[in-house]
Amino acid sequence: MSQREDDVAAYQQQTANLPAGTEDRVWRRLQATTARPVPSSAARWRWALALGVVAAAAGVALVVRPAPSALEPQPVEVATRGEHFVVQGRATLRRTEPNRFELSSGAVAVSSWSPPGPGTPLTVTVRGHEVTAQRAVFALEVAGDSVVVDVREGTVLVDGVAVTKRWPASAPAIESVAHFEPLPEAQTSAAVPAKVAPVEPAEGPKLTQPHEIRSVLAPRVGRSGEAAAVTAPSVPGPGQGEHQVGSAETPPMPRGPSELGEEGMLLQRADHELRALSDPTAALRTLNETSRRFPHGSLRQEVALTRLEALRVLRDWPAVRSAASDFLAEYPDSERRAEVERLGQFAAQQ
Amino acid sequence: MYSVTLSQAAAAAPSDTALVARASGGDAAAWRQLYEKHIAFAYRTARRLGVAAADTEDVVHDAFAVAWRKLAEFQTGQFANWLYQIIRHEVWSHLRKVRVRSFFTGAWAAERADEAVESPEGVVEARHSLAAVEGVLSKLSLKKREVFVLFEFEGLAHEQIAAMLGCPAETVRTRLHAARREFEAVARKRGVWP
Repeated sequence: MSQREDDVAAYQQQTANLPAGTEDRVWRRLQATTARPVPSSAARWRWALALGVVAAAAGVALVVRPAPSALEPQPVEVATRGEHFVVQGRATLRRTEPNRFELSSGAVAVSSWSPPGPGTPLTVTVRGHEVTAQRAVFALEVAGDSVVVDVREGTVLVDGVAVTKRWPASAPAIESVAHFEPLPEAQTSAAVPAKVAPVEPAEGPKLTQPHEIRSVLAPRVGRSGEAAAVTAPSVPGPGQGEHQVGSAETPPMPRGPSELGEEGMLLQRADHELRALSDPTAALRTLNETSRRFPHGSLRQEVALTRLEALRVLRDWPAVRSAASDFLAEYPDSERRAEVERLGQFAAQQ
Repeated sequence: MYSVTLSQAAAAAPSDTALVARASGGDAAAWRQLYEKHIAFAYRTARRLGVAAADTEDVVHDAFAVAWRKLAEFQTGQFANWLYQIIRHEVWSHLRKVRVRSFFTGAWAAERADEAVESPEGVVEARHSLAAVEGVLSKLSLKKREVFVLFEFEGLAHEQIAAMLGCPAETVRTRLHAARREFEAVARKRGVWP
């Protein structure tokens, strides 16, 4: 037998036998392991199945999880027209009933011209507050934890408390005419129905834009009707109307529309149609109705200015020239004379 | 040799299966019998596959602990073959850890040990010791080494080894042939058994 075979045999012999005491030592160590019962096959399958279900659920949740930006309701363009109202803006708005909405985020402009009486008022619920309006033009905006109510015409009830803007009690100039800011071009392109699609921007010098007036409604902390829930206007400006804020001590007394109010509401509606709805034809119809009903109204100058603006948007230059000429003749001392003159000159060159 | 043990086990074929069934039901005595029947094979195999003597008990314990945990998964076939798969996995895991550990901590020492074996004095000394065979075997790859060990030392047939490893018998023959050639080459290179 060669040396190699001897060594291999020796190796085989030396590694064949279990060293003394090894069996007992390993067994004692195994006792701790084998002390518990062997999990049955069914139990192992159950565990595996449960883990599989959990993993699958987690996977599905990861796959179908919407983008972080979609987790919160995102404001979308809304343009809803009812029989007696128009709601438009960029907001998360849900219609719960024909005349009832729920605003979650964003801002909406509301124009409600239903006549006072037994008709169903328009109600918008926002952050637990109920904003009710009949014959009113107002804006609602969810700003952080606060809700901004911008009453531009008429009376709005916020949790039963009247928020009224007397318009145009002290400032009949057109700068004080509240209006809905037209939505930016990018926001009005997709979701707004065709009937309110924006018209092509008109040429010519544009007339001055009026101001906004706002009242701020603080976050709701108690029962409705608490005086602290409604505060005075935050940004009063020159020539603006004033807000009348109701409280628990002074029961809400919605103000009935006067003749001036009727005329102002029509003018406001025309302004809304012109700027917010981008519908100058409808605005002209409303302006004609205003002139017909109030031929000697206090707002004739504002009506004429709004008509000029509507004609400018329509690019009806002969009509603009004629209307500008009439305006300058009728109101030679108007503060807007220079603007109207420029517009008339521009129209004459077309 | 283990082939004898297998034959004996085959003679009492139901016994392993029955023992596993009883042990799965919580019968500690049946588990003890299984352990006693296979502890020698487990120890031998771990040792010959390259586990150092000092670590062999740990590896064997780990292998039996895994076998106990997975006992319910054993369905059919030879318990010894199933146990071998567990031992083999534990041995390979252990050797991998040792390699990684030695790479970071004992590389220099391992190199010195190799040099000692390569030296004429070391060869003369190792020729008559266990280290001669161990040193040559350690140079074989794990796949070749296990085939070589099971065939040469355990005396198992190609088909039995194939059943244990879960591969075709032809693969076993090929690996065995390559392992023998490598064994000779390494021995020649090291100057062992000139």
